[in-house]
Amino acid sequence: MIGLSFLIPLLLIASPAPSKIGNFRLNDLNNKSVTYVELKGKKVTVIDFWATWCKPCVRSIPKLVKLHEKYKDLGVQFIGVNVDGTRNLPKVKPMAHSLGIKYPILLDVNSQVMSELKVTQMPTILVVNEHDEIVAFHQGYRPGEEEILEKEIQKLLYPEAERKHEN
Amino acid sequence: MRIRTALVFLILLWGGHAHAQLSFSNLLEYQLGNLPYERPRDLSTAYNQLNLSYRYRYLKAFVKFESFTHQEAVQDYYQFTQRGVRVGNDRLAFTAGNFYEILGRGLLLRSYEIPGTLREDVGLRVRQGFYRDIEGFLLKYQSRAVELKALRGRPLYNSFPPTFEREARRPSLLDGVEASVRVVKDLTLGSAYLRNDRDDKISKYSTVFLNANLPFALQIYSEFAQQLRPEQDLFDFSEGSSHAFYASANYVAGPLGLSVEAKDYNDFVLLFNDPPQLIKEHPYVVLNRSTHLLEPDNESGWQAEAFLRFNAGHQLTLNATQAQNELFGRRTVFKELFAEFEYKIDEATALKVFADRSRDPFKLEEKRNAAGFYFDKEWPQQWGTILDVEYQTFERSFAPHENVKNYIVSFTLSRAPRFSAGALWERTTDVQLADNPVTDRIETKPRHWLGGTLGYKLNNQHFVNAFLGKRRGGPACTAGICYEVLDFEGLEVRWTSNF
Repeated sequence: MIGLSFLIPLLLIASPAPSKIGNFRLNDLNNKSVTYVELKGKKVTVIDFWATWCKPCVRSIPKLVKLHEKYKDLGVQFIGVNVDGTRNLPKVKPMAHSLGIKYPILLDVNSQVMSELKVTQMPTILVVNEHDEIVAFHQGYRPGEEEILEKEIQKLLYPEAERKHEN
Repeated sequence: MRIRTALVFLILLWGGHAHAQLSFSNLLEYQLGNLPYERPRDLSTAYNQLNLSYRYRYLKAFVKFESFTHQEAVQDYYQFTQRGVRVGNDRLAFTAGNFYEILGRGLLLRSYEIPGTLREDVGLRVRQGFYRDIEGFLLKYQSRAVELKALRGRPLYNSFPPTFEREARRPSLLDGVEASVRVVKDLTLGSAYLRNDRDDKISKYSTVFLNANLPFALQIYSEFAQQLRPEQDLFDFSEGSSHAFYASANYVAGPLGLSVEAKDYNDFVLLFNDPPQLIKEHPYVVLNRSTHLLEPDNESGWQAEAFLRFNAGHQLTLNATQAQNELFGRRTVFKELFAEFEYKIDEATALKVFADRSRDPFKLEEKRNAAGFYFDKEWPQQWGTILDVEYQTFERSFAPHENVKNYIVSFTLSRAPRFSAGALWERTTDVQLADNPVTDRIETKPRHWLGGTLGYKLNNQHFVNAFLGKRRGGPACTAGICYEVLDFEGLEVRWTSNF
């Protein structure tokens, strides 16, 4: 019976088409109700699921802040989705401010969006193309992950240059 | 019921459409090993959680299938533990089936899921997904100015795993409504009502809350919830009343961020609520494990936290917390002071140091002091290393001569985006943990735990993590929810997949 449990992930090992993000609505740090469609980037959207208690999240955020600064005028939008729940909610805004986050932060108090997008680890960073398809799924943060993230952003921004480079 | 759910899902799949989307996630955890003093040493168990959802325009259908298998087929289960249909968009939606919802800040009601975390009780020894959902109906309307919720359903009492009957796991039937209105640009007022029917005994609750953005970047939230009883006045804070009051404020200016919170809870253990705890959720293991657990039966207190960022990227975090309990005629005061400073040595190197002082008479722990550091170095070619060293000492109030010492050293090596490996060593002089309950004598020698971890990302969809060795259990808090992690000795492999 235990052996059968391994069958499920094995059956799923093939890589199907990328998942699409459905529109969702959450409150931002100023208690304003906003949707994903209102916030998403023209060409690329990077969604970072993070929490105040998560060490790797706090490590990764300064790198994301730098990438946001670099690409914000090129149709790339970063969205932070905080999943702290009610316990740490009042600390999210001061902490985001002290980490220098300038992109929108949404509060996923019930982990609803987190569950919807099948996020199981903190942080998880999703790279989403203009058709709302998740093209990269980064679980956890390891130093250097931001370099890979930047390549993925560039690949979506300049697909022709990427194709030439590959050839 | 299982067959019916599967049939409905298959019909939906067959009705596939170009714009429809089927998505999966799967979590498999296999363990070969056991609790430290239990037999057999090579117990083989596996837990699997499969989440399937199908979305087509305004319709979403979903199921969660959980299974737990034991080598001796003891406590095995294979169940659709969640199922449902959601119809609607980001404004108006109706859900029939399992859902998560919150009223106010959770003083009355909060359901939640902690994805990726499993729960296992030491007495029952059955693993299950960590969630507390509601099974029933939810109608929700959200706009910029108004938010309305109406629900009817049975919240999950997740101390009982799926091997228990539904009646035991979902003993209450709730009816609730909430309305919140943005009365002016920066002020939202709201109220909620909840009725609980458990074993034909009806209890009624209400809550009122406000959320305001004030001048000078000041933000406040305040909520008062109470049980509606003929003998209890509205806004009754007296000792005998069943109430919960919570308030918070935060402020940002330049490099400074501040948050202050206050609570006063009395006779408010509802089993489906989750009032804010106002206890810092620490990322450091020795501190996270020593958390003070909220007692909504009687607890009041406050918490203040400050963040200060320096130009060079250094950061200072300070926290002060106090909580008073008065239970069974005994008054106890929990106090904690915490400081952390992150020093950016250069772009690729950071050092965090922390110090913490606390006392938790509720747990009979006095003079609890902790300190440590977290050294993070990035290397070329996307390599990285982390060294985490933590030390804690405390006295038990009934045995002040016994000074308990806890040590943790962990080292992690990683290479983005695929690989990470680590080793974690722990040591304690705590005699309560040193003793082997199987033997007649009382062991007092310090106890050690040593374990190794390995993580590998196969591709964008598949991640594998493995643990080998001894893991120390104890209380742990994740995403604001505290639970008990069991000790483990052996091999654990976890495979997560997402599509």
